[in-house]
Amino acid sequence: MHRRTFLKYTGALGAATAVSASLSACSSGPQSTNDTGGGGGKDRTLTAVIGYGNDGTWDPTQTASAFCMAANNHIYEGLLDTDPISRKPYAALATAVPKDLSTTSWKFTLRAGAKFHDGKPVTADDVVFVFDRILDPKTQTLAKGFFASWLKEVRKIDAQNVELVLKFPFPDGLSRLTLAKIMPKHVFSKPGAWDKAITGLAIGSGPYRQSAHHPKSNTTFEAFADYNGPRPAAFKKMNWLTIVDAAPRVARISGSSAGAQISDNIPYANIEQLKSGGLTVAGGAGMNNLFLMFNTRHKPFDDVRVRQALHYAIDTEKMVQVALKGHGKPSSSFLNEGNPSYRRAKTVYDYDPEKAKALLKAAGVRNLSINILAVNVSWIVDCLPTIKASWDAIGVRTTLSPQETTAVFTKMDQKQDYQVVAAASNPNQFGLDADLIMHYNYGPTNLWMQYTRWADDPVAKQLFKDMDRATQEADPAKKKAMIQDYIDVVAEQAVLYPVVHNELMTAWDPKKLTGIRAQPYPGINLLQAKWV
Amino acid sequence: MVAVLRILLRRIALLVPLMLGIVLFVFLVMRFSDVDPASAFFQGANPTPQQLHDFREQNGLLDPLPVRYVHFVDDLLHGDMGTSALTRAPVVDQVTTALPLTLQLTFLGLGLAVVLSLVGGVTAAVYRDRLPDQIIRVVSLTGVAAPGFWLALLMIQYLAVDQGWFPTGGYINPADSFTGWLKTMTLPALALSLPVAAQLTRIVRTSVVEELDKDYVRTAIGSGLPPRVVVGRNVLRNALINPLTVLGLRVGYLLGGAVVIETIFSLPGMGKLMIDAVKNGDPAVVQGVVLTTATGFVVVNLVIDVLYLLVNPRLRDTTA
Repeated sequence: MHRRTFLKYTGALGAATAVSASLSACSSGPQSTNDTGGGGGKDRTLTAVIGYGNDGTWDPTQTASAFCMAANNHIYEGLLDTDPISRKPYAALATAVPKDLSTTSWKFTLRAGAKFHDGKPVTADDVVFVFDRILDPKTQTLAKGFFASWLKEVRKIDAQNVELVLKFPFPDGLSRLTLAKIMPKHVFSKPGAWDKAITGLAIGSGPYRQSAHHPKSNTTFEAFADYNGPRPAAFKKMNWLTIVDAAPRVARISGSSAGAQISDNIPYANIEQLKSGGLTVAGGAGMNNLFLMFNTRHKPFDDVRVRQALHYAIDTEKMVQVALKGHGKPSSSFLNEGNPSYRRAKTVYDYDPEKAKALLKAAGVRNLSINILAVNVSWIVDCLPTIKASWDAIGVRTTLSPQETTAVFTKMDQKQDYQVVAAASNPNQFGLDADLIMHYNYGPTNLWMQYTRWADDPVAKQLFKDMDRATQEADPAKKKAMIQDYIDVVAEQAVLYPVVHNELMTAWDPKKLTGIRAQPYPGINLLQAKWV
Repeated sequence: MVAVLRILLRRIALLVPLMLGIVLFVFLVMRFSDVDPASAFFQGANPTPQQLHDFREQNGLLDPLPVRYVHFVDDLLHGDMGTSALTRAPVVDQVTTALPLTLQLTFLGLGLAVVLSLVGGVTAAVYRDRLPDQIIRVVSLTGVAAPGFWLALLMIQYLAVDQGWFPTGGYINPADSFTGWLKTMTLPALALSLPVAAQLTRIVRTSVVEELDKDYVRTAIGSGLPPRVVVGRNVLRNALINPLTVLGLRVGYLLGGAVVIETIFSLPGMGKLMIDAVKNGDPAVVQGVVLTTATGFVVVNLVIDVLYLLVNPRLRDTTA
């Protein structure tokens, strides 16, 4: 073949390629993740950036995913829902908040005319359906841990009325009702529907309906026209992007033509840059924390003195200043200082390397080498060098193994051996009440206790009994004192215990949005926000 | 022509063991991963040990490795790449959704690289050792040294954040808005293409300089043909053989480079699909993306081999 013919062929090939690429571009490919225009003014699309994945489970009875929980708060309603900051309950699907909390029977009337997003009415059968799933002893759900200890059953009175029967009076239960999102029985009782709920099927009665869901990319919402509840949608359309990497997340909300109006999970290093660009950046201090979790079956971490020594050795003030840029505090209890049940624990791990060395010596530990299995969340990664330097300084050879959160907890689920885990946690996603927070991490059948292999320890067994007694205590003051007492045990044992509590930062454009309040837990809540 | 067809058939036949080898390699490498498909599948759903066991049994994860490999190949031949642990969707659906975007990005990058390198390379050659050549040399050497991801971050900062000319990331399907699509793809395509364009510029310059020194060029110009016509019609055609060869090989680089660029610009293509799958412990998706990319690379190389045969008759005799 002549070279010129060859060039003709290659030219034709190139043209064919370009045409096929253009055709493929026009006819297929991923859905748009950016706003493509359309409505203007008040009808324009709100674009939000969430720094967590949208591919966790969407099943409201199972999920602890920051993105999915935040989205579900806009899609679903509980009988009662809570204010995102104060966590004070308000009537959502129910018409009123029960007034007498000293009884073991709470009756609720459903809001007249309430409909699911598929147009079917919300009935008492739907409420019973959800609570039956949560309380079913044969079904493992995350929500069971928040309800089973105090809620006996849920009965249908008639099509519009239900009764919650409690095992004992439990006023704190009111604010937990938001965790039982009411789902349509006619949808989720079908075979395979719960699997679809995990992957993103979400049909509720809330002010926004899910209009599209693209895992690892974005989820879109539209105002639900038939919503007749207390917090109607202020945005006609919303596009929530999931951008886990910090740089593109910050870039998306930066500059004169920013592609988003609000973003959570703002890195501390970018706060001033975003403020100088005219954005409001506000933080919420809550239970967000870096914790250490020890494998108590792995010697010498079965010895409480070793666990305490490693906590005493950490220069937490330095960690707060260097890694968290001042946006945190060394933990002085399991709970953060702003929690209503907070009391400074009897054992506080103020930086004391000499005490740490003495404790290790008393435990007979020498030449200890530790590999920290850590999650690679950006601010955790920033904190890890301080832990390593602190432990190296007391003669503990420390290596760091930061990796994806999923990878760390898959190892935990597989019961693989480990020494110490350093990870992030925030039980405030579920609520503020201390009983709930402590039961999320501690309990005989609790997932975290399976990870620590500590549940069979005599101290743990006594702790769990004390926790149950506190749960059932009717007198709020006594209950608070009992919780504070058992938190002292948790602090002393340091099996799973926070090192620092830190703030979470949210940024938004105040020229475009009003009514935003920064949350002390991941995600955003736009139920009271609106365009300026 | 018969010889060419015979060689072509032989090359295609060779693809079978090659692809089986690739599949075997990917299969074995994925077995070294410490991500348990059963735990990944039930992630967030608190599975019981029995559920985990049932999943492993139903998906043949308890079978011996050779049996699993045979099943794996069999599934692939039936277009089944498995199921995503996280989305529960067939991997092949995710791959076919993401692939068009990566192809768009790759070919846009390729097109930009060709245009930039032709303009730069020919200009540098025509103005050999003069100021334009020196400037293009400095720019192209800087481009060769600059990694694409770094250029991408610079472009986001200056062209998207500071100037607001382009979005900082994200994707608009051309069916929704063609201009929106162009805006979302311009910076990623530029970031992807500039290092390739810089390399190609050097090669185009060298090839054109060699051609310009040949007698037929002097003769043509001496015969009164305008230099612009001689360069455009004769010199360029003859000088493009080497750059085209290199360009073919660069398609693999562009496909690979798209992994990083897509992540930086939050483009939901094959690269982002793989990075997310690695981060989230979704082995079936990683496997699917790697196999698709490897297949694409093998096919591109097959096309290049065939083009070699077409352009150089001597090769037909030695390889037949």
